[in-house]
Amino acid sequence: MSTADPQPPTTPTAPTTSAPGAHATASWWRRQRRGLLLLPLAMVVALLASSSRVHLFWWPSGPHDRVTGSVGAPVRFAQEWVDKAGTHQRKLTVTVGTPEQTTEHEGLTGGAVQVTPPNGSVLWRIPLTVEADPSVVLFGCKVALIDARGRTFTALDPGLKSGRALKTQQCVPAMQLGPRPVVYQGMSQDQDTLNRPKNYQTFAYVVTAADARPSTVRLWWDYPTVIEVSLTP
Amino acid sequence: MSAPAEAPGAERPALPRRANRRQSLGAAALVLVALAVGRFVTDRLPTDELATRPFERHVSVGQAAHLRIGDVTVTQVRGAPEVSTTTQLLTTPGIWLVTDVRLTAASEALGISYAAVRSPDGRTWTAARGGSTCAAPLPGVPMACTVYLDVPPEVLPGAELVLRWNNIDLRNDDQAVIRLDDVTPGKVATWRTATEPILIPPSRTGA
Repeated sequence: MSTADPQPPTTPTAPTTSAPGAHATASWWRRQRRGLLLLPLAMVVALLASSSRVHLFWWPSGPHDRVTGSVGAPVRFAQEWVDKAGTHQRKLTVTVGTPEQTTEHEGLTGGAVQVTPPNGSVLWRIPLTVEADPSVVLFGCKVALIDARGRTFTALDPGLKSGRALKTQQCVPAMQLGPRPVVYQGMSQDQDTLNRPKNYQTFAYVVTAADARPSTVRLWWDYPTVIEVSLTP
Repeated sequence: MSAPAEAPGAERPALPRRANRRQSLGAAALVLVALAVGRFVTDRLPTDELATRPFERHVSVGQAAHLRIGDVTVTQVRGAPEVSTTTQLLTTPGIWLVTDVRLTAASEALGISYAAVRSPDGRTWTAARGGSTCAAPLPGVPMACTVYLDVPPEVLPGAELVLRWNNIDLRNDDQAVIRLDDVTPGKVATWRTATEPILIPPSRTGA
């Protein structure tokens, strides 16, 4: 019979590991950590992949790309555009002045024409000072006044009564329209147009409701890029 | 210190493998349940046609329909076998339904480019041969304009006139539905005997 030393009594100790369920959960998170980290990225990629409709249908159909400026301050504008002759650059600097109410409209061949706006409406004259190379196509410019209530007034057939034909091209002087877009094969860009100076002043005209208080002038050729000039300092 | 090597021929404990199989089966069952719930829900959702149908504002002649694009009021309904626009005389073996409209655009120059007559039996006649002069209104300024369309005379009593700005995409947006209560069989018979064309003038802003 051996006479071994008596063992010290065992003292109870706290368990060193957590419960088996908690351990399994923690290990699952550890095993899946790579996938979990990639999950937000996968969601972003999925959203981007399904966003083609926004680009195809929404973005080009409205004034979503705004070049902003203030009244009386030059605004630089550059836009790539396409016609039947190819791709072009439209580069210009425009200074928009303060619109003022008027009853005179520039005639188709120049000169002032007395006009009568429809009942409940007024005519505004918007001064534009433009600097652009004479070869740049500015024909086809559109102008709108946006009032403090968010109403947009464009210069489409405002129902003005006048004794003479009125100027229709908003951003170029009458009889100095400059080159036009080529809308069919074989047409020359400067067909039937007169030379336009590099620097000029002209007026755009917009009819609004009589109670409209203009807050922004919008000027554009092709959506989505537009110039928006705030009239409030 | 290296871990002790497993004895050759020794089998791994069977319990974890069974547990893994149970987990896999459970996950598969959960996926199947999720698919079944998804199908159950989608079967009970409205179809695309129903979910994207236009919002209809029902009014009578003389009442304003308040649409997103503005207020639309049909002020008068007339009919004749012939109409005369600024450029042409149009004739029909049926009836030209001519409606005078007062349109006050809300915030943009959006007019009326879709017009249709809906008969009580659910058929629809659009303004394929007709037209609308309600174009490019000035926001906040009333416009007097005309919408006209060619329809069989027998469908007019009890019919409705539908007016909206967009004639391409008929989904989701709102539209005016005008009950043509006063268009009786007797009135339609009178219209069929009219010998003078109805004039379709250009629109008038500020009317």
